[in-house]
Amino acid sequence: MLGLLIAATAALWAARPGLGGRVKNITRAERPSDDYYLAHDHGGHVDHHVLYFGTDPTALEALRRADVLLLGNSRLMFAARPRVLDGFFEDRGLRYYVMGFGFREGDRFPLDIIEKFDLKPRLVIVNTDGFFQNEYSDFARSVMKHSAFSAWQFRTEAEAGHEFRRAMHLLVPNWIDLFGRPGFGWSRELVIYRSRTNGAWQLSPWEPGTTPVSGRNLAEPRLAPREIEAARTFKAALDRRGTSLVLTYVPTPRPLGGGPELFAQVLNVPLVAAHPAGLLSEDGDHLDESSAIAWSEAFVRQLRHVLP
Amino acid sequence: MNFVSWSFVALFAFVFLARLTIGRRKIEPAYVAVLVVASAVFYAWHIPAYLGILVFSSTVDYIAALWLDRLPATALTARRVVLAASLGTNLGLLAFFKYSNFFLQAARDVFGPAATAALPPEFLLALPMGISFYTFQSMSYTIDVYRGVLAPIRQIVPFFLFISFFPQLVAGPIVRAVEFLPQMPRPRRLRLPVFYQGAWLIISGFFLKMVCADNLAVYVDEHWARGSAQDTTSGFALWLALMFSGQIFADFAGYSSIARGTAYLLGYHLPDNFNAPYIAASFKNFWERWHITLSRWLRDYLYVPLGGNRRGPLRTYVNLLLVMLLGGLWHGAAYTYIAWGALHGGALALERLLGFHHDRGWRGHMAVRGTWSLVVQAVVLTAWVFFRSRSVEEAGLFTANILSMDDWSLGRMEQVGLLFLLPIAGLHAFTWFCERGMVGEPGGTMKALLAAGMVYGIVTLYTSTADFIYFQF
Repeated sequence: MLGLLIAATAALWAARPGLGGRVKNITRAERPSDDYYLAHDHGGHVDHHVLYFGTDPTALEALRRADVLLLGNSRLMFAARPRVLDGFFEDRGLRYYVMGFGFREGDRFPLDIIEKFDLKPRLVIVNTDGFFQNEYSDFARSVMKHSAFSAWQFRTEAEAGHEFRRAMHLLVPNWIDLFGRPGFGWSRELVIYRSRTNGAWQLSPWEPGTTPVSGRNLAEPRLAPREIEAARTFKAALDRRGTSLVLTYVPTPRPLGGGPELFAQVLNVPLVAAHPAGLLSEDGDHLDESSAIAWSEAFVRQLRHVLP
Repeated sequence: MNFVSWSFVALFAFVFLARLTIGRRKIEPAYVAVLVVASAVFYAWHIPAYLGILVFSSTVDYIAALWLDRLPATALTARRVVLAASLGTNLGLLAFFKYSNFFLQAARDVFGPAATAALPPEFLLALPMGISFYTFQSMSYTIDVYRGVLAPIRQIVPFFLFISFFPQLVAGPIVRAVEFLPQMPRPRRLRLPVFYQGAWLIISGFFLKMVCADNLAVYVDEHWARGSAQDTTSGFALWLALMFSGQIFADFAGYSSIARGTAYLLGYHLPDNFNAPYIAASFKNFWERWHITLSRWLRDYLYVPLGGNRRGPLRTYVNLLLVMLLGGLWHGAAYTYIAWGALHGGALALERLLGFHHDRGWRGHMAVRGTWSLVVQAVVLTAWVFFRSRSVEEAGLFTANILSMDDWSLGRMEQVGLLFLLPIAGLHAFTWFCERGMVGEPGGTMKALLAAGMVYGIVTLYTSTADFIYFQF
């Protein structure tokens, strides 16, 4: 019976017009190079674990040597493209590392990593969108209760699941991954690899977007006192380490809060607000790859004026 | 170790191989040793150091039981001291890991800044996995020896196996010594019908967990906060509550089913833990169907010693309320769990007061029973809202949204989400018909077809897996 069901699906998969043409992300996913490790897929989200517990020696070394850290949520992780950033920072003799996280992660978790590994970057660039909360995400809280041993387990499980799924879904699809879940932007499968040397995410595959990312008034009328306090606390922690702070903003139709201009005024730090025209998103939240490249180019054009 | 993991697959494959080779009668010492070691690995996989807590509390109970056996029945004080030492150790560990932060916070709330300065900060400690389960299991052993209904086990290795048997170690079923220990010397060969039944339980458990519970969790986790928002409609709030009630059932019943299936394949029978709780016609009946082994434990080791229903109606109501409040606290140190327990305890007491705990006389009339069943399920659903919410206030707003009865329409997302409740509804409907003799148990062929369908469902509908909810208790 099970064999029949699988055979019937495989036949339908191969023969049915429209269905046969669709290929699952997991079977198409390709690690860009040996420099990348698996950060997220259905088998597990191990991105937080790897950096928090320093389970990847190469990534940890790159993090320690970075002169510039870029922090923020998943929107920054989609937007920061190494093909633009590599050349820009190299020309200035700087090493950078994109140390943002998914799960709407705010300021506390990356700050913990900075303090835990005694990182001393010269500059930290923060995407203000939902960042200054003086909070951990629920996911980060659960990760912090783990150990290096469990981080290793999570990573091993994720890698094993990833390879198993790549083989299994050549025969049968996961219907939810294939067609999406109504009401959920990123309900389709998401496979993310992360660079050991610069921390950037690479989605594989990364579909072109269709939803325009509209403009947004960066000068929000006011900030919540809690956000201001969180931002000041964060800056004070960087000051103690001798690190400068620059703010930025990745355009999104659904901001999580935090007006960049006001934060820049309150903290008296430069703001790099790049918003090129024609940005697109697949899920209405994150930039697609070509838009991310466009944003990164606009970002570095402005950044050169504020680099210390 | 999580059942839904490659590590578990590897561990179980190894132990099952031992069962097929060195443990064909199940009682071979080498096989028992494999089970003990596998259980230790299973537990240490979470946080290796916590294995020490399990070994420590088990050793205390092992020694206490032997000591109790040596003391004559007339040495009442000495026996009580030994029992108190054993229970105190178990409850002390439970209290430290589970309730210390709760009580510290409560003290800060009550005494203000003075307490904040004097008290230690929050302990950022992971709860030892399944501590509530194995603690209760271990306590039942010492209490039974104290009561004289059980002779203590003299060999320490089989005793550790009773406490740490990995299929039920971290989330039950809570097995009593009188159920498990007599099975240990009894040979049980692995025959085909046993294999089929074990496989059936495992497959249905994984289906409940990976297809129903995990998919329902996607909706619940993403949208739960909206349930208490001001602009939320009754339809959406009710939908969310139903999704969570389905999730928690599928998650926990799924775990229990996998536990029973794996134990069965390894030669042990574990008691049933769930029996279609959402068709219960009374609160009493609900607790005969939901987390059955915990209900039995609370009844035999708490409700009955408190006097049960033998000391008059008022004392019975108080006992019911007290037991359910402690049952709520057992789940965790939060006001929401206390509220959940209070709702169930109050409902059980009220039901008893109204006489709806039985169906004699006019209370047995179909219309009356049907109406009371709806009341029961409505209260159970409301209690789940408290169980899942972050605060009692949030749960109150959530419930008020349902009761506002403004708009019952559901969007496409909600309708698609309901599809993951269908297998759970089907299971309950089948049990309802079965109990009334309208359908029979499925035969071998039907089970094989259903199992194939479920495996297909698992590989084509699974989603990112979350830890079992009851692992945190």
